[in-house]
Amino acid sequence: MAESLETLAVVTPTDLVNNFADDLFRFALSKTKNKEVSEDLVQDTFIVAVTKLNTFRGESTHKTWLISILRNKIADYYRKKTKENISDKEMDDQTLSFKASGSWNKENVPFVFEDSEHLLDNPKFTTVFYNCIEDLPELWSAVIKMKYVNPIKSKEICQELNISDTNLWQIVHRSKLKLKDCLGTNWIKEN
Amino acid sequence: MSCKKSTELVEKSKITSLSFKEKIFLRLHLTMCSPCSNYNVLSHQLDKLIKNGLEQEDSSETISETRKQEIIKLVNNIE
Repeated sequence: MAESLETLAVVTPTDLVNNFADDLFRFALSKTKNKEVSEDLVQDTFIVAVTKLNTFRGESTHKTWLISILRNKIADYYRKKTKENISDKEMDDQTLSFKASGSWNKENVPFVFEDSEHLLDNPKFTTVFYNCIEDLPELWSAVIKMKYVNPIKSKEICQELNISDTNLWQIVHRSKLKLKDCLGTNWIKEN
Repeated sequence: MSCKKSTELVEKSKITSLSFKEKIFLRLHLTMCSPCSNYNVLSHQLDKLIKNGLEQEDSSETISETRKQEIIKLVNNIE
């Protein structure tokens, strides 16, 4: 359906859901990797959209408009998650990478992917990879995803998530170490 | 400087800026230490994988029909 024609016609709430529910669901799923959460986010998005439908001026397409509402809903979702978990202080206990002296443990030295450009084309890899991200402590995986959901500056991420600069790079550091260990065990050694 | 500290600096440098001293230490350490230099490469690879992974949409995925009908009911009860 041509969007320009559609914006001129009266769009009912039912039309909106029928036309865009799948698009929104796929977008939410790509960011959260969780179907149930994605369905909830899509529902919240339509509720907001329908309440504001009379303010929609047709300056953007319906899809763009809905996605921008959904983006905010995703950010809200991560913000709430990080608030719940902000007391998580077990940073150092989570990584086996280093000895007390700060040098690498022999079994956990970093590897480098030989073909990182094409890894995401491999469904076996993406399954392992997303499971590793989900296995991170909740706050960490929220920070990691949040960091890449919106192309915003790290200062804004810190404000959004109510954490300090120092916390942000420490969380990213610990998360990558954990991802390294998880991918090392479940991907590098298996292949 | 320890490997733990220097890999922290790798991440710090991507988020805020390093002091002059930190920059020198890090550069020196990375040239001498191959595990940390691997970490530096892996960190960059992971950045790309996470970013691209979170953009990857699976076109075969659809919202469940029951949920869709529930949402339609919900939005028609607004006002």
